[in-house]
Amino acid sequence: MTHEPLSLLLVDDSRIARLSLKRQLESLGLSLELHEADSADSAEEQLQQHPVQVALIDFNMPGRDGLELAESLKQQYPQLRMALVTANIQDALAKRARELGMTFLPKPTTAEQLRAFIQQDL
Amino acid sequence: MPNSSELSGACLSDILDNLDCTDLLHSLDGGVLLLDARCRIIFCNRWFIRHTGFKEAALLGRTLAELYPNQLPLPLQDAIETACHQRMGRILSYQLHKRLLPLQRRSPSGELRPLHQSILIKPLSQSDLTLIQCLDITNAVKREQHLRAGERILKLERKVLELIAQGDALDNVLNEICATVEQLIPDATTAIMLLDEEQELLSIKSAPSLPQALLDSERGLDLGNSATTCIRAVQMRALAITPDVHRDDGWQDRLALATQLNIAACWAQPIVAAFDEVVGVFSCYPQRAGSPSEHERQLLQRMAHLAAIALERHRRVERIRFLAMHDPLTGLPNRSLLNEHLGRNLRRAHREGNQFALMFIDLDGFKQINDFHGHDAGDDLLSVLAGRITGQLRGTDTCARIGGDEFVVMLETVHSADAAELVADKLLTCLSTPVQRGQQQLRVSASIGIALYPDDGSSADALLTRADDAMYQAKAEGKNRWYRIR
Amino acid sequence: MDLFNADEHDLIVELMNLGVGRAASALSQLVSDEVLLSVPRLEFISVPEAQRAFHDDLPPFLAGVMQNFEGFINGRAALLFPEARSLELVNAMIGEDLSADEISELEHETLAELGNILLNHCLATLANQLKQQVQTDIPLAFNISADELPGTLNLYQGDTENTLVMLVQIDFSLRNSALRGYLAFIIDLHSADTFVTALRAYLAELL
Repeated sequence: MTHEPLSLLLVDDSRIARLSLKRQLESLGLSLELHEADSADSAEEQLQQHPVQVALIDFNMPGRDGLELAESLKQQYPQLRMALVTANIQDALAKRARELGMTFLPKPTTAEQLRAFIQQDL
Repeated sequence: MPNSSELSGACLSDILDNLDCTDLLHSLDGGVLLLDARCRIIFCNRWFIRHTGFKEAALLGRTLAELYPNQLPLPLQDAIETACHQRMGRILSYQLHKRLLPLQRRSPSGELRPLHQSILIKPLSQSDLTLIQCLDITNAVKREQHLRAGERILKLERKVLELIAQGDALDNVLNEICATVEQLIPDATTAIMLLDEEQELLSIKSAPSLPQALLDSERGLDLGNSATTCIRAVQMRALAITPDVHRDDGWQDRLALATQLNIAACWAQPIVAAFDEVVGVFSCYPQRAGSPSEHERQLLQRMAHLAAIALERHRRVERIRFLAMHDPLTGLPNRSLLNEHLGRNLRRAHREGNQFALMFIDLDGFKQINDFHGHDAGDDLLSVLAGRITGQLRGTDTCARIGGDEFVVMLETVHSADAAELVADKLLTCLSTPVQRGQQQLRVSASIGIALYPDDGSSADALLTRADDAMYQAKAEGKNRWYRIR
Repeated sequence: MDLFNADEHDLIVELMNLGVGRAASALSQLVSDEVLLSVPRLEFISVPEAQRAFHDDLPPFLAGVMQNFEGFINGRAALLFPEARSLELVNAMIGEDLSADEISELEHETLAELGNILLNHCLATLANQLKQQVQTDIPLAFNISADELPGTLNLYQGDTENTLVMLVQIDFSLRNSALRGYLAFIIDLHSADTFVTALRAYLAELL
């Protein structure tokens, strides 16, 4: 197990949604370095500035949606692990997320779901 | 007597206060249940008792899930629990939930049919009770189905009419008509049968769902000596119904076929074209015994009518095409059709290495007939001679009239020049034989120019010019003879 | 109206998102197809502003579904569509492609259920997430002109000074039928105190 903090990017247009994800992540007691973005564009900027291993991406955002962002990130950062975090819990959407290799996390998330996703292959 | 609007508010509320609510609920034409916070029935009205078949005592204190184990659809169960526990009001509509409570009602004919319903679930605000209202919407469903079916027919009808208007091939249009009915009367195969010109034989023209092998083996039905449903339809000029093929004498020798194709009944609607002429039958073969409903009768009528329109139009197009390609006086092909046949024959002869012959025929002395006996006599003579020419030819040969007294004959294949010359000799004989017209005897002869493919030319133009030139040579050498340029 | 600060506003949008997402999931199971949704646009307005907004922003003829609710907030909620498109939506839901001229009683019920599912999920999610209770009545479907809307929604019932309108605009599409719907929540402000308190309690745990 690595002692380097895990670098994680939260992408959600809602500050409240990012906050509540942050609180849940903090409650896990893991060593995490958190970055935030409120749109697909700012997520790509963040990724250019910091190396990131894991991204939690909201689906429904103004501009490019979470799947469009994931598709573009998958090309640029094949090592990046991504989860789609969304209130839109339809099977069709979950299926498209999995096709992109993403984990599907329905909102509201629980701390345990986040732990399972983050520790998947640590 | 005061009318209702004159009743004072106080008086009305008195009346309402004294209404027996229970009595009112029992008299409703719809189900009413009251559930407690744990989904148990604490009241049910008479309608509900009548339609479920349960005794009141058996209903009270139980939940619907207990009354109908494994039969309650999940959305209904969810909605009831959400209403009782979380106080959320809900409607479950028929269109999104075709099955709700497993209730039945008697149809006018006395059969038990599923009762179509929608359900309202209302948490009562002054208590923790929930009111469930079950509405019998069977009649609304019927009206809706009727409306939708009517619209679907209109849509399909429009599609067929479009095909007809676009000039689609007759077979396509008739197949589409069959497919339309098969879509609207599920589990039925259909066929369109046409009468031959003599109005004696009825044979299948279109039946997209019947096996091809069967169509091939089915010869025409002879109107004279059988009495099948379809023939009855032609004879009566009205819808003929065989509700059960096993009880119809006309079907006795075809029962094995009916069994093989899973045909239980036959409904045949005559196809009536212009001038009240029955031209065929639209027949429908349902897999269940019975007669068509009013709605199905209408459908058969409308589709037979569409078939009539398609057939009528097909006939007209054929007629126009015939007129455009034939000489009105003699009925022989005209120059356009000759060119078509000639072109086709050239390609074939080239492909198969055949020889064929072209003869240019010009009558000798025809002008004098017109001058002395009049144009009517000339016309009559031409008609008779046209008949004599075709009488000397095979069915695959062509004789065209391309000018006043000019004809072109194409012998589709010849083995040698001799064979063509033999035909030319016969033509000379029959054309110079006098024609009796009343008291008059009309007599002409002919000059014929022969050209052979491929020896005398390899294109249509070359062959026609060569034959034309040869004909002039025959004239020059004294008429009433044939000539071939070597 | 600045009854709610930016965070509270953001929280309500997020809770609406949750509710609409669940409604979409319920609907997609009913119609066996995906329901596409946009980000809701939320706005709080007063009664006179609402009247103007209904007149200016909404299509002139509306099909709608209305439901009363009471509990930690009291009021009425409505889902509104352009009338001309509502039948198309019902047809898309039941998988028909026909175009009957008039909406029948069965289609009225189907539309009522659509609104019912959407409004129930929004209100229930709002209440559950804020650890509150809400109770809803059965839905009522209607067809009216936009000018009749304030009357239908009982906008002037009671004290207009103390009534708040929460207007949520959302685009959704089902099969090949895309349309814009509006959710209007007419909230009795006497009850809004509980709402604000609940929102603040939720935020206090986060901030």
